[in-house]
Amino acid sequence: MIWLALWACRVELGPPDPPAATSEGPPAGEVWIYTSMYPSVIDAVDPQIRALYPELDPKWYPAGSEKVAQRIDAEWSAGGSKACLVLTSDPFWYVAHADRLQPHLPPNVLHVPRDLVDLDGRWVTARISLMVMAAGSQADRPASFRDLADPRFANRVTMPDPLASGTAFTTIASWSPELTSAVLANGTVAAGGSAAVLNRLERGEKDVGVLLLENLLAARRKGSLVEPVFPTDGAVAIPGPIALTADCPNPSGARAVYDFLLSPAGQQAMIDGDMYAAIPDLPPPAGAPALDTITVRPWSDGFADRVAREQAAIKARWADLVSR
Amino acid sequence: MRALILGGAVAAVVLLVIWPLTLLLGSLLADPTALAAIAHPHNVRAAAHTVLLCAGVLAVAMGLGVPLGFLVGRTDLPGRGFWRSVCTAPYIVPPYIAAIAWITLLNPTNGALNRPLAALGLPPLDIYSLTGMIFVIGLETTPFVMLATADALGRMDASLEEQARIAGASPLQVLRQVTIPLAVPGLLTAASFVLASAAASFGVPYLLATGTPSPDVVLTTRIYQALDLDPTTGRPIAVALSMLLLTIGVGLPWLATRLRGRRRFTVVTGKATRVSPFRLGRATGPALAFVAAFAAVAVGLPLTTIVVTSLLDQVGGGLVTENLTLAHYRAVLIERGDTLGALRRSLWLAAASATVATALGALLGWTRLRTHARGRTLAAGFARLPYAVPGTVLALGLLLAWSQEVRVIVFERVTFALALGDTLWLLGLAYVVKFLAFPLGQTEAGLEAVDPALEEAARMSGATFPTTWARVTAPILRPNLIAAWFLVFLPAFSEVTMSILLAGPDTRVVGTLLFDLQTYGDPPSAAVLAVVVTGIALGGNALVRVATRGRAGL
Repeated sequence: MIWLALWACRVELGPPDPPAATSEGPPAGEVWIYTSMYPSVIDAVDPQIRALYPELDPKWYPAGSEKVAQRIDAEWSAGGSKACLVLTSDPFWYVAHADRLQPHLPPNVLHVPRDLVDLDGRWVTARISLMVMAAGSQADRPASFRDLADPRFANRVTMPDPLASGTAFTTIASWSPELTSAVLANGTVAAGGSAAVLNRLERGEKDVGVLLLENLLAARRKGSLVEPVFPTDGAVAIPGPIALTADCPNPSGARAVYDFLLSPAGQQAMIDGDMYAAIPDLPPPAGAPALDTITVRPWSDGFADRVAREQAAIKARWADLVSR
Repeated sequence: MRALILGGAVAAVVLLVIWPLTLLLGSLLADPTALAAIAHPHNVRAAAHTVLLCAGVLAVAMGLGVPLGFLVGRTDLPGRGFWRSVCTAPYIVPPYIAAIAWITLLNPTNGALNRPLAALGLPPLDIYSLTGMIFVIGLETTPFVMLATADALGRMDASLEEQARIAGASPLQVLRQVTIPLAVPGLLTAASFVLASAAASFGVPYLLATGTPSPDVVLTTRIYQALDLDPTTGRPIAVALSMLLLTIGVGLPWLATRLRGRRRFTVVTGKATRVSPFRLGRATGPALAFVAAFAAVAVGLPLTTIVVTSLLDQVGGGLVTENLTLAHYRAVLIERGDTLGALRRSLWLAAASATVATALGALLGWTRLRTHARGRTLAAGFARLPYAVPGTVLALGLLLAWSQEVRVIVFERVTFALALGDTLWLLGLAYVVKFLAFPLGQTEAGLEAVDPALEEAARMSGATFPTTWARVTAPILRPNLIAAWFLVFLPAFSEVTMSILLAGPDTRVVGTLLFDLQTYGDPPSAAVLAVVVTGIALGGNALVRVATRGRAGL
């Protein structure tokens, strides 16, 4: 037992205090990035960052937005987290944890629309996910989210679970309470995340779904026959922010990664990962329409503040609807 | 020597189990209002579902496992070694992969088995229900009961049965009045595992409870939701609900074993003769049919479904020649750079944690039953808890306890820095902690059947503590310890829930890969990995059995 414990130890010879990280010179050392970005996006940006900053060693912890939040929360409770950058698709997390973030404004921030940036610089949107609908190739399909409550689609609809997925929560927060309860009362199955929705559509268990466009685009590239439907009452745009933590041990390295992710090359990686860039001039992901050609529910400070305030109530209302 | 080894085992329980659980409890004490969550109507309903789930699973697993164990362990059933291995397979397939297979087979809309039912005009079977969960988890836990029954019956002292025969009892009477009652400790251990396992199961309820508009939510899914909703306010709620879960999964079984009282169940003494197998005679046919039917339903159906899924080009494309491809195998095994690394890492990690857990569990079990050390029951009791704590909560506890660097400085020059976060060590510890209950339970079941006189004789002849273990205790416990090793190895090999939270960028394992493929890839790719994992587990087990002529392996 003792032997195992000693084996697990790293032994350092020399003065007990490690040399403090300097903020001079080129960015170097480990930078921990906790993110819900897809592995394919990480695989695309990691070599580019290493080529730009040979001394820098980005360490990625990839997991869903909820798992990232749980891990950081536990590490913070234990005394500190290695996480320097947090990049998930739950914009409300950043509002709730603003006091543990430090401001940073990357050079490209002026290109990002004002509503997608924290005015104190504690987070900046790095990518945008779009919640849309999907259907098999049959003729009868909904035109709007409102249609999901129509008897024609009774027991045919599936969506991600707002209690398990932040993007699904943002979606129902943008719906009216009446629409939410009508959709649910129509026999809609809400479970898992967008991947689970896609699976149920592909298996043919349900034929209409609400899910993230990025999952759909990736599946269609692999030959899936499920088609996107852009709701006429507005697809839901969900900003995926990036933020620098206040107790980041390597801020200069972290800022270099931060700036890269908002640079044209970093933004292109998001587009290649089937998401929209935060900078509106850049092209949409392959196979997707430009955001200004479809109806999108606008993201505003007003909406974000209201939902951040009512979050618990919205979720409790949902839980009541589901267990009725 | 003895005190040092046993002290080490207890210290390990304190550091690995009690410390993380205490920190979790601390987050509840910091926000005691979370206790109110227990009384919330949704959670009361979830708790009721958990109780029903436990009861149903217990009925299925005992109802199938006891006869199976008797047939493969105590009768002259043809090919019983083979059947024993095959019937262990439900435990080998990662549970939520099995659940996905059952969804493919039995979802009410277009399940492969429901289509013929619909053609006959019968209503579809619905896997998305409490009954569906009981069915899937029941099949998954049947192997526990089977193995425990086979073990308990196979090691019986033949003289006890012979005496009953001489006294004029018929073979069936012997079975009912002597053999089965003597197997009670083993069966109780198995039953308590089944209960804890059903209460703590998450993957299957998560997939099966959520497929309907008004799901039969259980406690583990509520705990998961509480944490996903908001980790900060959710953690105390999750801990409060976990305590409720522990009451159901561990507290009730513990009470049940108390009720059994203090009877002795010693069946292995120094003078034992080997038992003779029960002759099936004309019952051989029906017995074979029963075992084969179980294998077909619990092993054949889901495994076939997984293999077929792994070969589909498009999931919705149906089972036609144009839609069959090996492309997913190439993509997962060759084109993905990290698959082989993750497989190697998980194999190594599962083997190491199984070994450590078995050693630790054996020492703890022995300490509880064979010494009078103070706190022995408490240490063993705590070691049992983590198995019934949901993986997510346990992983958070380990992060609370061990994610920070611990530095010990000697002579002001040499620093021992224990940084477990994001290392394989932390993952290994998690597996040891979670599955410690298996070797502990197996050891206790084994020791209860063995007369302490055997070990006392060795000690009196001058053998040291390690020698007694090596020469007497370990050989007697061998079947239990081997079973325990596999019972830890198999779930650790493909563990998902804890691995997602604990694995770092350089320590991706099979579980995280499986999750990635399921979330970011597609069902056929995830099925490919499931086929490979199941193949390795089944193949490895078969290899071990052949190499040791059936003395090791399941």
